[in-house]
Amino acid sequence: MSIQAAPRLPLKRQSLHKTRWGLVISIGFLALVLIAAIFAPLVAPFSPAAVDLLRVNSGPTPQHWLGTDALGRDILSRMVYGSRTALTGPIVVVLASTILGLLSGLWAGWAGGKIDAIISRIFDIVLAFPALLLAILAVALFGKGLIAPVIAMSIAYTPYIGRLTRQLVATEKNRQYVAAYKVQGFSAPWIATRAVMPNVLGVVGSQTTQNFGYVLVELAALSFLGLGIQAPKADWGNMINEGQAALVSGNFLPALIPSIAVVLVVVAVNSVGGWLSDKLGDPFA
Amino acid sequence: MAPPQASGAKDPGKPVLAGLKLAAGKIGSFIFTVFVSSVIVFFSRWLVPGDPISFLLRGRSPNPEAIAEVTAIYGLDKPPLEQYWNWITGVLTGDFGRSLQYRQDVSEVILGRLPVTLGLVVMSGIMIAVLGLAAGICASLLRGTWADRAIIASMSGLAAIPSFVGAIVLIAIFAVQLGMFPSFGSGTGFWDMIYHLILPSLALALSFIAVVGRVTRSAMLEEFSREHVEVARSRGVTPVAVVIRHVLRNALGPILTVSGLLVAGLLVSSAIVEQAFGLAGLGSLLVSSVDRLDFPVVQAIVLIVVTAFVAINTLVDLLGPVIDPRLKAGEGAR
Repeated sequence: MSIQAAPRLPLKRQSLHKTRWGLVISIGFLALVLIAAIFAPLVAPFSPAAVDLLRVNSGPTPQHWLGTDALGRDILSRMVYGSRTALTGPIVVVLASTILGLLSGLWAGWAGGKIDAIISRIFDIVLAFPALLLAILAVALFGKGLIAPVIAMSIAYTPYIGRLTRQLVATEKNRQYVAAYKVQGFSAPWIATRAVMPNVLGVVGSQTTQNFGYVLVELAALSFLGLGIQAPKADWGNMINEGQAALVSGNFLPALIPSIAVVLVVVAVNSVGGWLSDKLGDPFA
Repeated sequence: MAPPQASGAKDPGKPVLAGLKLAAGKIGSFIFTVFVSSVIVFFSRWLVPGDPISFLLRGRSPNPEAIAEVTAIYGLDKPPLEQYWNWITGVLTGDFGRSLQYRQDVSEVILGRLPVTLGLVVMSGIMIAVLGLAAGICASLLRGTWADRAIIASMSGLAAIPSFVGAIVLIAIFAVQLGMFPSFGSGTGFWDMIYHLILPSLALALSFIAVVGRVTRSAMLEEFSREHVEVARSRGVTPVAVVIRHVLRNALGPILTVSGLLVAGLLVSSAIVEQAFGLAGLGSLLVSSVDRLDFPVVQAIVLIVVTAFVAINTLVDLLGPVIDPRLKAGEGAR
């Protein structure tokens, strides 16, 4: 027995490592971006706003690893500082929409009947507004920047989490363990939040991860359109916008580097999300 | 209600009636959603603190004529509900009020911008349908081979490319390096416009092609494994006819559902592509109107896009059973 079991273990471990290789790289990359964002002043070699008109649109050099933009600002430093807004926006939106979605979905799924019908109708109406469009409307009302779009996107993404939670809770409600709690005399709010909620969190978590990628792209798009983070401040989206002028004269780096960063972060986040949903299982698959 | 019948097929009137009822319900909820959206779009202005005149005149000199003009456009001296009524009845007859920026009717400004956006959406719709279906069908026919794997890999790559990144990359390669296509403007005349719209449409289409390709592949594979396909094959139906009549026809349902959502997404993303390629479309009009604080135009475009968005989704819902009659049985069957 022990002789047979011994060689099988390392084999299994090896295969596990092989399949998760992409995940390891993704998590490593995301950790790197996060550290750069948190410690931006320590990581960035230059100030993101330092203009050097003698070194405009330079390619990569020993001082400027990723080159400089049309005003001679260091692209690497701007990328590092830009990662702050690139990550904060989506993190706030994802947190807010997940909390709102969980609560409203839990309420709808648990209560059923009229409350369910009303909340579901509200979800339908919010879903009629594409997130980016709602964000643009918010900017038109409250002005450019990060705050108005982030609030608008938090509202726009709530129904995605809310519908999912509602569906999960509605099926979970009829499970035996809920009946068991009821028989024991636990109150409905207690069962809903303490017993049912934890069983729902896993699946909602993988949807949340997926939303993070969408929100990141949409906020970057908004800033690319000139409606998000404003010009002197570095943000990946407005860096692409500013870099477009250099693009036509054949200098690709200022626009291409932030573009690649957006794509890489989204791919990395989605790979983590994919792993999460594999691990937790999709009940509707 | 009537007792359950052994075979519903004997009474063709019933399913049709049920279908009509379902359709009426969907149209009803379409009208309700659009109505509530119009209320939200109109009254969103009240969320901004301060009086409406100074909100509408942000960034403009508040001289008496301007104040009089804005008051007249919005009927600001009337109660809010009457203002909404005047606005919505105007909208229903194609009158969206006046643009503060262009000093023109909003409807005229929008009509002038419509051709470019429609061209963009139609062209990338065609690209998505042709390339997405082709990639998905090829992958499903070549299932398990290196070609299938290559298509899947490039689909996952494409799916991660946002339209502004696609625009940057396409401009760098095809406009700057190769000089094959223009990188700016929408040209003059019909054919020139189509030529100018090729790169923008592709930039818009890229990630959507990947989504349609994936859905097509998995829907096709599911149908391939069905019994009726096996039966058709053993009856000696030619492989091409099997694919077209027995597999693709049945796979269209899920493909259509996804496509509906995508076309709606195209409308919003077109703003990004229009900005990147300097196209004078509806999306860039929306952005410049936000930029220049021209709220009447913003309101009109948001309402139009939301209505189109909801209309397309309703249409897909309604078309589903027509394309795939198995859906017509509705909830009762399964």
